[in-house]
Formats: sequence, structure tokens, C-alpha cells
Amino acid sequence: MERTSQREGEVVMSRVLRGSKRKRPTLDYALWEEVGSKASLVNKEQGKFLADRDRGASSRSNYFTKEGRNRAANDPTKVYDFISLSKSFDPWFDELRLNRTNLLADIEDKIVGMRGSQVYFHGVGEDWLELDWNTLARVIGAATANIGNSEGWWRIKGSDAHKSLQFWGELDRNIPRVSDGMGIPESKWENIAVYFREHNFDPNSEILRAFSHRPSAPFWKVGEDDGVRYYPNPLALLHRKRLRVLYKSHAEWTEDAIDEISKFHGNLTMKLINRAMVSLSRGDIVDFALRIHGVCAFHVMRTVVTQQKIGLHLISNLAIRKQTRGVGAQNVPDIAYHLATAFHLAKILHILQRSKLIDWYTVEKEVVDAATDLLA
Amino acid sequence: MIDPVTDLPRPAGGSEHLVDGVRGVDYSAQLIPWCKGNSVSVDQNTLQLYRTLMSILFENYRIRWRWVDARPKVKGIDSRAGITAEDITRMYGKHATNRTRYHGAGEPTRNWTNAEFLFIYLLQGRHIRLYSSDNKINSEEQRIIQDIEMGKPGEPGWMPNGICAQLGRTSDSGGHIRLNGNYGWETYIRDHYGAPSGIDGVIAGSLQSGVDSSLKRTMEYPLHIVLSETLARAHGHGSRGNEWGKNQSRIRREIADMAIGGDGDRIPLDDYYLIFAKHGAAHMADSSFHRSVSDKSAAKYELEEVAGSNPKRWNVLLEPEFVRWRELRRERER
Repeated sequence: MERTSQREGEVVMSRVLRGSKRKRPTLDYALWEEVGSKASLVNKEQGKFLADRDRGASSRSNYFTKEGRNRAANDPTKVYDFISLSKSFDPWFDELRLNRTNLLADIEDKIVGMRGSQVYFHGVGEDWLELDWNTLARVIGAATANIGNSEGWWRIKGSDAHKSLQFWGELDRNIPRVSDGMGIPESKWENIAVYFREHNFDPNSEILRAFSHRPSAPFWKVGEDDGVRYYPNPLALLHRKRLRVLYKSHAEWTEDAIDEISKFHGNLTMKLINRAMVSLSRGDIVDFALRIHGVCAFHVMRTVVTQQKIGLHLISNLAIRKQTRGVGAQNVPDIAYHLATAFHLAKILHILQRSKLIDWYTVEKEVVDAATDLLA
Repeated sequence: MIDPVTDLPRPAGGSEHLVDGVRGVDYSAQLIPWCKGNSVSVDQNTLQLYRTLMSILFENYRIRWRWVDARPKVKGIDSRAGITAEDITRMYGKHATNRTRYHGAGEPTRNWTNAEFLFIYLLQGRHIRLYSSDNKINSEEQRIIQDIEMGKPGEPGWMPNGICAQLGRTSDSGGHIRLNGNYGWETYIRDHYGAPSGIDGVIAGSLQSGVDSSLKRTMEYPLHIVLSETLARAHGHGSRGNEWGKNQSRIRREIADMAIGGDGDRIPLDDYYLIFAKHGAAHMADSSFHRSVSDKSAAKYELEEVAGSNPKRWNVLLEPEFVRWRELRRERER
């Protein structure tokens, strides 16, 4: 019904906010402030239950409608689902708000001793404090697609992550010293760029755009006395080393090895993001930031759309609203409607919940309706 | 990038830089706003060919100019500064199809047809020249330009008479296309890749190495990549009215129009979301908000809480260059 009304020109902003409040999407903040204290966490078993049963495009899912869903198979109480970026990320946002100057100084202190950092990170400044959420969201989307594939839920494997693995592997084979952070002479870079252009990926145009944020950019072009060199981001190299350790291989990444890793890169990536979050939970904010910048810098392929609704748009929606406005959690019926992804949303949420990237709640529909009525 | 008085390319170094009474390019006046307004996020695959070919045109030209800068007596600008039929074949295969169930033998492939579209636009706009050897202009260039102006590329059977066909016919003698040095692109290349002005002992725009890489370049934005994407979007699937990324363009226009009609530099965040929703793109609103971090040429937005609002309200502050893009466009439309 909502689809029909949209075709007729009406803007459907919300399945949960009613009446004139539909045109106030920013009431998402106030709504969670009202209902958050009455929310119950959805545990992994409940998430799995929904994941196994959810069918169809997210906008047509039986679970995420404006009527709400039954709390459980044996409990007909109507509830709405809400999700937020995991609370484990909160120390990062708190630190940004309360301790920016010291955090920046701590990051700069830590980076000084890292091999290759003096050239690569010269003059970076405040960019250290900005996580590239869109790229991180793409990484998470590719990982989620890959995990869902290994569960047999769909055929998409997260090809952009595969392309990134291929790219770094190819560099390593052609110029082994790249792994040590050595700059690549322009002529050699051009040879590699030609090879990838012929394989439908232009590193120059992808990397050129990423120059705006050096901590998460894969490469930095530096003019030196003996010519231009392309320096790899030391944090990307560190992330690659961590991937290799997780993969339990210090050997060269051949094409076969990359194909093998591609089958389960999602789990490896999620584990490494989790390790960053462990650092965060232990108060090592600097390590968290550097690890996340590394995750992003490793991901050279940034414009694939296949799984971007479950990565780029879903995660950035949660992260940007949290970072810029402090929005706690958002209702899933609205997200499901707007995303309109063919990936089954409950499966996505279950993967993200299992990977400890999101918190998943329910709130009784009655409570939400009452809170909505109260909002001015 | 061309000085209207002398009709020659402006010098590198930006608007503060004066050479023989001619100022460098003021990128902030038109070209940066143009980048901000035209940069959209579209699938890699749909844009790839256009970005790649444009990237090669600029990279090859830049590399050759660096060579000339280093060794002024060397004749460095030749077919290596451009794109040849061989380059295109290496990347996109043969220009004609084999017979399959989908098409007959000898039809131009889609990649070559798209490349032809890009070259037609660039040649018509005098951005490139067509050469039959290292430095000799192809005698067919004028005929092709006239045909383009008469609308012939839209007619069936264009490909055998077009630019790619000429590249193929002259491949043995060094036939190629390359950037038109008199059009101002050399200035852009120097401003984008080369040294900024004000460094002791270094000529503004020098492509030689040794310049501190963290220094801000005269033109930071990849104008040529945004141009290639704009052309790719305009071409769409090859037919009129089938433009890629049209929806994103509408959204950006509407956001800027609302700001121009209101406070000038901001719109309410609720309206920002509603505009995206109106165009069926509510899911993209937040990623677009943050896109400037990972994409240098994307418009930058900031959020400001409306003081004393309850429930809380916010405004989106728009980057001046983005609003300027829309103002310039509206002026042109009038």
C-alpha cells in the first residue's frame, strides 16, 4: 500500500511516526530518548530465529511492518525492532566529544614510531579524528555479503573485497618491497595501473579521490628528488599483515590463495574489526582508530554497488546519525522500507549482531505509539 | 583556463600568480563549484570506461610533459602522450563483434561505441586533437568535426567514419588522440599534479619531483575525473533521457535551491531527509552527508543544532562552492 502511495507522489517517510510527524524524520532522536529505557535486547537465538524465517525484499518483510511483529512464536505482543551501532563504539564518540585535543596528540605520538609513517602521514592533522564511515560501511557490507554466502543465504560474495585482496597481492608479487612500506616508482606504478585497468579497475581514479582523507587512503603520491613515488598506507600494510596472521600464512599470496581467502574474507574482516573494538573497550582509543583507518585503507575498491545497501547505506545511516546527532537506536520498519534491499534484512541484522557491530532491541508497539503521540 | 584577452592558456599557479600580465586560473570561481555539483556516486562498472580513458589521456600527457620539463631539448610530446587504437584494443578487445546469438558479426562493440561517444564530445569541444602520426594532425579531423556538428554520430553506420576508425587506420603510423595543448588542459595538469606557487626555486606548476607532497595543490580537485563521470552519466545507456545518476542530480539541485530560496547556506535537516525521500533515495541521505570524507570532489555538509529547539531540530550547512554551483547554473538557465 505504501508503495502505491509513493507512486502517486506522497512521500512516505515513516512507518512508525504518524500523521504530521511523518515529515519530521529527525524525531528519531526524541523517539529513542522516550522509549529507550523500555527496550529489550534481542538475543542471538532470537535473531537467528528471525533470520531463518525472514523472506523477500526488506520493504516487504513480514517482520518489519507498521503493524509491528509478534514478540515471539508464543507471544503475540506486538513489538517494533530498533537497531543502533553497538554501544561498544560509544567510547570513540565520547572521546571525540570530550577529549579531542589529547586524542589527536596521542595518535600522533603513536604513529611517529611506525615504519613509513613519517613520509605518509606528514601533515595529516585533524583527519586522524574522522573515521571514514562510508568506506568502513562498504567493508562491513562486503564482509556481511560474504558471511551470508557461506551460510548459503545468497550467491553474492563481496567482490570488492576480493578485488582489494587481488590488488595488494599483485603489488606484492611485482614489487615485494611494497610490504616493507617502500615507495613505488612512478614507472612501476604505471605498469600495475595498466594491468588493473585492463582488468576493469582503475587504481588511479579510485585512489585520486581518496586523497582527501589520508589516514584511510590506500596510497599517497610523493614527489622526491629521484621522481614521483607512490607510498602505501602503513596502516593498510599492518592490516594486511594481521589478515595474513589470521589466515595463518606468511607465504606469498598467490592467486589461488586469494581465491581461497575470498571464500571467507568476511569472517576474517569481522574478527579484525572486533579486535579494534576490544582495544576500544580497554580504553586504547588510539589503537582502535589506527586499526579502523587500516581496515578502510586496505579496501581499495570503493564504488561497487552490489551490496552497498546492506553496507554503505545501512551502517552509515547508524553511524552518521550517532556521530552527528547522538541518535540512540532507530526503528527497523523505517529502515527496511527505505533500504528496499533484496537481501533479507533479518539475516543481515543477525550477521551484524553476531559480529557485535550492532545492538538489536524491541520495544512494545503500544509504548512506541504512546511516545509518538507525546512528541510535539 | 584560457585568457580572454590573449586567447592563450593561463599560466599555472592559480589566480594569485601573474606571468607577463596574465593571471593564473581562479578555480574557485567556476570549476571547483562545478566539481562539487557534478560529483555523484554511481556504480564503478557503469563509469569505468569513461574514467579509465580520461585518466589515461591525462596521465600520459602529464608524464610526457614531465619528461619535457626535465629535458627541454627533447621532443617529448608525441603519440605516447595520447591514446592509440592499440591501447583501446588492449583494454577492451577487438572493435567488432563475432557472430553470436545476440548480434551479427562485425558490429561495433559496446565498449568501442562508448569510447567513440567520449571522443566525439572531447573532439567537438576542442579538448583533444586527432593525429595521424606523432605530431601530424589527421586530415580527416575537420571532416569529422563537421559531421559531429551536423549530428551524424547519431545516425546508423557512424562508427566506420568516426574517430576510433581513424585511430585504427592510422595505427601503423602512430595515429592517436591527445589533449589539446592550446585548450588550457596543460595548465590544469600543472595545477593539479605540479608544484603550487610560492616555493623558493620552483616554478609554479613544475611537474618535477622534490616538492613537499603535503602542500596544497593549486587545483586539488580531480576535474578530469568528474568530467568523465559527467559525460558517462549523460550518455547513460546510450539513448536520450536515459541518464545515469539523474536522481542524485535532482536531489542536489533541490537542496541547493531550497538554501538559495531561504537562508542562503543552510536547510533544515528534516527537509534534507524529505528531499531524498521524495526522490526514492531516503536510504542514501546519510551516506551522502558523509561522502566528502572518502571522495574529495563530493559536496561537504555540516550539521548545526537549532538552539533551544525541543524536540531537537538541526540545520544542514552547505559548502559555499556547492551553493555557488547551483547559482551559476541558474544564471546560465536564465
